[in-house]
Amino acid sequence: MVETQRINRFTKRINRGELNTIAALKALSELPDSPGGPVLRSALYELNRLVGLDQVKEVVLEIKAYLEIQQKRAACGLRSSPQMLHMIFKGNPGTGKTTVARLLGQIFKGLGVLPRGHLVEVERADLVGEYIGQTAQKTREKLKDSRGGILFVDEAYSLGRGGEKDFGKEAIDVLVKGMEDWRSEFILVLAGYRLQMSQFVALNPGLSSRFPLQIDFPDYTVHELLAIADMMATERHYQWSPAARLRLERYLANKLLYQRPHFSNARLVRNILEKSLRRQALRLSRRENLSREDLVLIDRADLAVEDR
Amino acid sequence: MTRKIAVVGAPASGKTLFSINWCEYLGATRLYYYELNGTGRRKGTITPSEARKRMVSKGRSQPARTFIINQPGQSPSRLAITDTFSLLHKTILNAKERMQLSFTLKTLATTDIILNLVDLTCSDPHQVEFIAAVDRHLSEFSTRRAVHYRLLGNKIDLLKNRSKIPGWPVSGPLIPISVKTRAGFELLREKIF
Ligand SMILES: Nc1nc2c(ncn2[C@@H]2O[C@H](COP(=O)(O)OP(=O)(O)OP(=O)(O)O)[C@@H](O)[C@H]2O)c(=O)[nH]1
Ligand SMILES: Nc1ncnc2c1ncn2[C@@H]1O[C@H](COP(=O)(O)OP(=O)(O)OP(=O)(O)O)[C@@H](O)[C@H]1O
Ligand SMILES: [Mg+2]
Ligand SMILES: [Mg+2]
Repeated sequence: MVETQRINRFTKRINRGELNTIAALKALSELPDSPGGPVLRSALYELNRLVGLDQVKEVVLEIKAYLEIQQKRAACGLRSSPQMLHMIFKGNPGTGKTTVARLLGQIFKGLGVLPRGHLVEVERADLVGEYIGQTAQKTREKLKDSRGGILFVDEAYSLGRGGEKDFGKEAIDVLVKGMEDWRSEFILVLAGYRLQMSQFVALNPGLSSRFPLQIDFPDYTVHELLAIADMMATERHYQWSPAARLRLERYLANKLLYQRPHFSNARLVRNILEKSLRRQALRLSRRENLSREDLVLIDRADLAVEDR
Repeated sequence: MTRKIAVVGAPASGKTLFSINWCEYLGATRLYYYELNGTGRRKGTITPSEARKRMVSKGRSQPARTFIINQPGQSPSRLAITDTFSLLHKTILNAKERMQLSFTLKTLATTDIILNLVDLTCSDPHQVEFIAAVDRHLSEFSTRRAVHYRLLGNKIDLLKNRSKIPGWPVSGPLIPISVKTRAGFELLREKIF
């Protein structure tokens, strides 16, 4: 059994005298989750629950299967080829990139690929400095924070703008060096809008080969956005009234038609919901004798959208 | 199906007496056991009172053993309680102690419930620090693995009253018990089943 093998690996260390009682218990507490253990299970459950994103889910399952098979092969003495897991996420705002990256961290932790699996989310300003030398230092700092987990660079293409003199280039160089020096200790995810990311990769030929996994996050359909709205409301113990839902549907369809690509997808839905909840509260605060249903229902009048 | 309980703790914290008395408290009159000492294994059947006479600590270097009892009509119907080697607060362990620690870790890695027994009458600050560190790692391990974990403060019969329970820096509530008088067993039963 894999579990016994995992334990044997460090009882060997005890027998060599490398671990005393406290050190051994600490090592035990840090041992990655057993395959199919709770961390992995709950992350996969969360991933599955996300609306749509079929292609994303498929890629994640492929990676998971590949890693599991590699572990089994290694256990049989077969050569296992380590997979480079650095990724590029392409998609418009609010299409779930950050959410998926966070779950991937948990999944990799569950599979024993990353010891911590946490997500460090940064953007250009966190990496790039104003004077010479500052960029390398800032970027290295973030690399260090993300060891054992995922470094997620949002709007990564902005590192490539501004030409040769720009410090963004320096940040890229430090990141690439980090990928080589700290192989298998962290995973780098570069995220951004589809078009800009494709240009960015094209302009930096070294990158494409280092990021074998490029995942597309398509815009959600109206139908999917409504399902997300339902899910977000239910999670918070609210419910859209049928009239509110219908109005929301019309509003989203319109936005989708006229505002792409500056349409913020699930984030827009979340903002509408959160604003609507405040409006509902205001409406209810003027009334007395509220029933459970009153407290749950979001009315058409609460819906925080402006009809034109 | 067998439910597995690992009883861990420092020397003389009451692991062995707890294991025996808990089996008896659950209604067992004969305990099947297999024992592991430095050199080999032994197995047999024993009554609780005989076990108390023979197995409860009188000196150093106690073996570890697993008691197995049947609980007809209960689910799961078998209970295996492992009375582990004591956890030693030492920088360097000798060969035998290493073997014992390895055994304890294997037990912890495969158990359903971890009971960590601490002796509330302990007053040595270094030992208290050790107890707190053990508790911290076990509590972290159990949250990650979704294993049940309980910290038991033993020997309350030796404290003048409950207000004398020391405020140690531990991970969570300490369940006060006396393994000897079986005070607190009722509460413990609710908490672990
Ligand atoms: N007064 C009192 N004495 C206890 C209690 N629990 C255990 N003891 C005594 O503490 C001593 C050690 O008990 P054991 O059960 O052998 O402890 P252990 O943890 O198995 O010890 P090792 O196997 O040597 O690590 C014995 O003399 C017990 O009678 C208790 O609740 N109250
Ligand atoms: N498929 C989905 N199902 C349910 N909720 C979703 C889904 N996708 C995104 N969300 C929710 O929408 C919100 C925005 O998602 P997220 O922050 O992951 O998007 P993003 O792609 O990182 O956006 P940006 O590029 O603007 O940072 C979050 O609250 C997230 O939980
Ligand atoms: Mg984001
Ligand atoms: Mg003992």
